[in-house]
Amino acid sequence: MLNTQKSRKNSKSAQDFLPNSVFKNIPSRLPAFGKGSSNYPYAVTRIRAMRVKLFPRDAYPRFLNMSLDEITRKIGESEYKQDIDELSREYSGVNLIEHALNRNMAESFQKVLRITEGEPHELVLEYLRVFDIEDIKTILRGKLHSIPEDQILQSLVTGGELRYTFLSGLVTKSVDEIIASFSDSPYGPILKRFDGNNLPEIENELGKFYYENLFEAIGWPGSADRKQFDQFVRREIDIKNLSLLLRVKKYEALENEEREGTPCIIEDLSSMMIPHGLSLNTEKLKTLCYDDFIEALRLTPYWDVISPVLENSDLKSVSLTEVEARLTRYNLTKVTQNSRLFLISIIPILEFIIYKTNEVRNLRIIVRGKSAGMDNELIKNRLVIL
Amino acid sequence: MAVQDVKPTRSELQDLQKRIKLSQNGYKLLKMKRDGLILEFFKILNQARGVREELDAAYANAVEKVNLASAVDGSFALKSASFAVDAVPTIELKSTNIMGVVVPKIEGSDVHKPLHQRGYGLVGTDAYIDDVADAYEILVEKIIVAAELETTMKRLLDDIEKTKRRVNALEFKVIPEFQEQVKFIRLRLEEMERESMSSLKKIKKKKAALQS
Repeated sequence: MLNTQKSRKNSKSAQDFLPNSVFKNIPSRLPAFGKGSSNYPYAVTRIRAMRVKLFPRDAYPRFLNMSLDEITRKIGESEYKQDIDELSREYSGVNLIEHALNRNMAESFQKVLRITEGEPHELVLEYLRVFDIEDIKTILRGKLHSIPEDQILQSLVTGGELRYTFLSGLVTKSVDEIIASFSDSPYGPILKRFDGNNLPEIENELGKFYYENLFEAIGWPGSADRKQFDQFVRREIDIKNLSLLLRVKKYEALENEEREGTPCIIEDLSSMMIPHGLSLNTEKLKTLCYDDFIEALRLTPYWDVISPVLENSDLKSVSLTEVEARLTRYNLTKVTQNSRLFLISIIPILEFIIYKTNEVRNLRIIVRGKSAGMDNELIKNRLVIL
Repeated sequence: MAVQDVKPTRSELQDLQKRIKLSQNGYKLLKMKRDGLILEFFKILNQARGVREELDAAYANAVEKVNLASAVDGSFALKSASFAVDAVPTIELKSTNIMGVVVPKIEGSDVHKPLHQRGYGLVGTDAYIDDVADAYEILVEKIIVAAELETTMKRLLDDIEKTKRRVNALEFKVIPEFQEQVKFIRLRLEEMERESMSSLKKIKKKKAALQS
């Protein structure tokens, strides 16, 4: 539903690679800001108290200088103690830490859902749907390829709306029964299209649905905090699209290199592009060959972030993981930059979710990296210290 | 057969001489086969040495990528993506012949899959997962090549060992024994000839005495 369209102040050439409709007036399904019941002051106060318990930014360099045992002990003495104690019967070593981190994160997000009401609750719920989608994908992949039930269950992170009891019930069912279980849910229409052979397409659809649904929930960003949230989501969409385009373009370029002399073959990526991005015009970018694509990226705001990796580097040696790490760091830093301006709003709640997810990610990188004997510099490069 | 068990007859001698000739021919052929197999073995050894180094490097790279993906994306996401893999690589076993030694020819299919056909959706995954898939595809390819070369080397080594034993048996046991037997038969035949000569002489002497 596109009602209005505003133009952006950009150079003419850059405009070509920006989305056609940057601002879209999509009415939110939620009540307008300041209307309807919501408990921002209470929720924000509780969430600030939860935020204080997170590891401070200077903890990560200290962790990097510790041995794995010291890190494990330190994590075991923190907020994760209960999770580690309870899971230590089932898991050990690095797996125990990872399970404890994920469980604690899921519990924290459930607590956020419990303490928020009305608008913030709905927004958080939509934002956390990503965990539900990941769990649905894991279950479908596992059931389709006859993976043992316990292995599927061990790969679930119940950070969203779907509870572990419901998901563990699904794991015992057949694929058709699982799809039938979601018939009344927002995932129903997508899952109904599953024919047994098109799981990647269904997964892509679910991934797109997540952002479209979230975008719809945010609606027209009438207030500054909603605008901040909206921009974060749209930047995330851009980063997802950019990362996907880079992966496919690099793959195409390598394939074209093997077929020397033949013109560049471009895959149709329409079904994979997530709409409503902030600064990328995927319609144009997806039609370009690798070299033109990289040239076009120079006109986007992300070029400064990714240019050290992409500029003057040989196609085969371009590290897309390094590009992704830089983009993730950029997006998270951007969203948390002005968060102090919005004291009683969705931003502190969103910020807690981002900080918590990032803490779990950082701790996992350090613990897994240390246990695999990775170089400290490599581990440090993958951390996002907010 | 012990020398004493040999019948000291001319036919046996002829038979033994034929066997010596056959053994010597066989010895020459087996020696040529052994040398040929050794040459082939060294040719493959050079290839295998390179492939083994590549395999080690591919394995180290795959482990590094999987560790990095488990660290950044988490082992849950990585495991979930691995559940999505539907087309398992298959191998086809054929055989080929190197100087009479049957060696395997292994061909893999569905090893290297296009980005869109790996079973997982691209929207919900990232470059870390792609890197792991790439690294393991390369590793499987190297394993197939290494398996073919190393099995060939093992078969060749077995055959070289077998041929060497045969050559040695012919050179140091079978042919010398035959030669011993020939020598024994010859001596025996000569002795028998001398015996018959002396008995003939005695008979001749007796006959002459009776006539006189």
